[in-house]
Amino acid sequence: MAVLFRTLRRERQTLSGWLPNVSAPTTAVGLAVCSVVVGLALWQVLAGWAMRSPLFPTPAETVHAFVRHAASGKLLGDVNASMARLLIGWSVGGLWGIALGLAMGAFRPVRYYFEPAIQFLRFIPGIAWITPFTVWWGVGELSKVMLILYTSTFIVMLNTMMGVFALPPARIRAARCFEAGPFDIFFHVTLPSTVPFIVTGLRISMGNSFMILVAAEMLASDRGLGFLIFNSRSYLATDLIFVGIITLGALGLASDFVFHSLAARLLRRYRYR
Amino acid sequence: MVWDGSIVFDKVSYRFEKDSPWIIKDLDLAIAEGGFFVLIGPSGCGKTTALNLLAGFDKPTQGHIHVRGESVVRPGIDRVVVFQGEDSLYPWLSAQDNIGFGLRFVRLPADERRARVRDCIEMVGLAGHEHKYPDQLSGGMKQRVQLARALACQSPILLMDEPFGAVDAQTRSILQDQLARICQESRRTIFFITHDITEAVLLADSVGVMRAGPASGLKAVIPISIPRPRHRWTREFGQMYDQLHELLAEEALKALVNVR
Amino acid sequence: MRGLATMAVEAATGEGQGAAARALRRVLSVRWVLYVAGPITMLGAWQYASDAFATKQLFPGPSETFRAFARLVASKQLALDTLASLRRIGLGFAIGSISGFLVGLTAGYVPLVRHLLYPYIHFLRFISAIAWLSMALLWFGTGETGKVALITYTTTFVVMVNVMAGVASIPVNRLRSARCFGATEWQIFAQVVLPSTLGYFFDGARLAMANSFATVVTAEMLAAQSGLGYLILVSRQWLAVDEIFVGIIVLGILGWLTDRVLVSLTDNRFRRHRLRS
Repeated sequence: MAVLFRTLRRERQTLSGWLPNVSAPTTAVGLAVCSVVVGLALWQVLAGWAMRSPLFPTPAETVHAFVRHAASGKLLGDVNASMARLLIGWSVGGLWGIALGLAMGAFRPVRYYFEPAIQFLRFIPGIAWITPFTVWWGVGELSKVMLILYTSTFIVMLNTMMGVFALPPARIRAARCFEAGPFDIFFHVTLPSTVPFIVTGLRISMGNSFMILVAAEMLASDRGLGFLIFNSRSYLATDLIFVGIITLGALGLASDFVFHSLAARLLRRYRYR
Repeated sequence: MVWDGSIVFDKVSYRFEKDSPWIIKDLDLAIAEGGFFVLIGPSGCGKTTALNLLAGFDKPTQGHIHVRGESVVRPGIDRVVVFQGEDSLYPWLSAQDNIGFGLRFVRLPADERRARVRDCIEMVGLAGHEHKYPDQLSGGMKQRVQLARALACQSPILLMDEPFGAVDAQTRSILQDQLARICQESRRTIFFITHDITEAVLLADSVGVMRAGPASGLKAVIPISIPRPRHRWTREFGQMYDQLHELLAEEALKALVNVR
Repeated sequence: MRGLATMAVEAATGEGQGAAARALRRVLSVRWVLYVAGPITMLGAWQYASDAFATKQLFPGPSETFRAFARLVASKQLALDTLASLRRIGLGFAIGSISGFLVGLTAGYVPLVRHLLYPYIHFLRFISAIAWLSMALLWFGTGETGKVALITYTTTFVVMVNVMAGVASIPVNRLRSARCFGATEWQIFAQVVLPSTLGYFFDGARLAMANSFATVVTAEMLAAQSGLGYLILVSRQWLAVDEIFVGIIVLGILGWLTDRVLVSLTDNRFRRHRLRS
């Protein structure tokens, strides 16, 4: 506590800390790496010495389990199952979301018509829909894909709408000066202006889809990472649970990174960064 | 109302909705063809509203606006607008493509379009920067792109809404001189809005001073007969400046006091 | 003569001034007509679709859902389950917001802490609370603790990230001017930093609330004997889709209510503190 107060007092112009060059990028990376290493070591110590119970796997055991599971090909099977559902639902849902969002953003009557329904539906947790979906479409792929499709559509639609509303009116007025018709305005002004919002919506919905997918797989599936995580509990295979969790985090991180980098490079002109 | 001008405002009044206060009331104005008209007034007096009505973005609640004898109904390429700030440039197009954008929707053969774009780039002094994107351009360069875009359309009337307002003082005087030179070389009617009196005296053939809002109209129209090219702060320049400043200061004080 | 399509589009987008466009716009601009027509027509379509469906039980319409709602209210089942869920959320949310706020402030203030936490935040960002459910069940059992722990985890995370962002976006000149006036560090903290970050805190709280609902519902579906998630699960086992719908709708209402409460807290008391809408 005293350290914190000293920190605050020593501060000059901005809220900087007590290590003088902490803002340098190399120091930041160094600290991050240290933090991870220390964290892993702590984990090993806690799990290996302090607790030593099957309920708390050590990093070493987790790595072992990972290698085992990966070598047997089952991990790949789980990953494939999860990613396939995710990608199909996310991409189709995203397309729907773009179309709906543009329609609602550009045509005020459409928006007014759907607005009360949307303002209510957005508060229903997506995962709650897995129950009726499994009743209607069984425990197979369709119910999960539909769930991800639904949640993706929603998020992308909201973001796209936001993008249409954020359009500077001067852009449209300039086009009207040049006697552009309404369809010209839509394709040459509205659509390109909305691109960064659409991409942001797709990115957010991808992260969200991972979360919903895990829950759905726990509830109604016999394959996939969520299934791996939940099912391993019955065998007290906590190392496998951790494998599932970490693979999930890594997959999410990788997908987000790939998507964001690709989009930033290809769509730099449209002001997506 | 006299009808021989290129632009005529005939008892134009405007307000947003039925019960909201009038923004401009009974505005009468005639601008001769080829004239450089500057509209000057305190903030909130409705200058931009007058320009929007002339451009065709809004319709007057009462009265008519005629351009070359025809009523103004919708925006058109004969009355292109140069906006304040960078909002109206398209960030996904290069400077060159932005300038050519205005010609996209009018039937023009491609090589003529390219030739016009090239000429305009030269005219505003953007040669060498035409492949840059708006986020790589400075404020002054962005305004030059807008100006080039408007010039490329070869519209007989140019509407400019405080185009140099968001630009720093040095760039502003450079752009003003450039605009004065371009206008000398071509016979266009220009409707220019500003609240900078120096700019008005430098560029205008006649200056309209608006009263403070709401329900404002024209207080006076002062012709500026200093021969061109004009230099800032000669004696005649100073005299015109003082005359306009006196008229404007009254209205500016009223605008400060007015609580809307 | 411009086409009908052009006029319709102009009317819809509010631009354009032809007579037909204006007339169309006047009719459609009665916003409230559309606001009301939307839900009514949708409910009607729902009823129609459900009537047309072969097995009524699998796709009930609004009337069947309402009857199920009345049944559940009368049997006190709905109230009990709702309270169970709310209790878990309430506790977890309260603990999580406070801890998230504290950690977020610290991390925002002290770059050292921020850099140390960075790798964990950016990795855990992609691991939802539900992914930890298995471990939570093993460590805490199937009682209340595990679920509250999960909700605390997700709330802390979301609030912390938002508060960190809030501290980082305090305009430097605000701090500088406070220093010009001779404020002490404590005064700066209490009178500049805290008010500036309150808006971000509440934004984080709203997001966290939505997450908490999702988490609790899933946890209840997988490992609970009470709560709205449990209700939905049981209804699925009996194929009582009408009760499932009741559960879903109640969830929606609760989510909307809690969000309204959080928004009103900020709008009324802290409106000037919030720079973001």
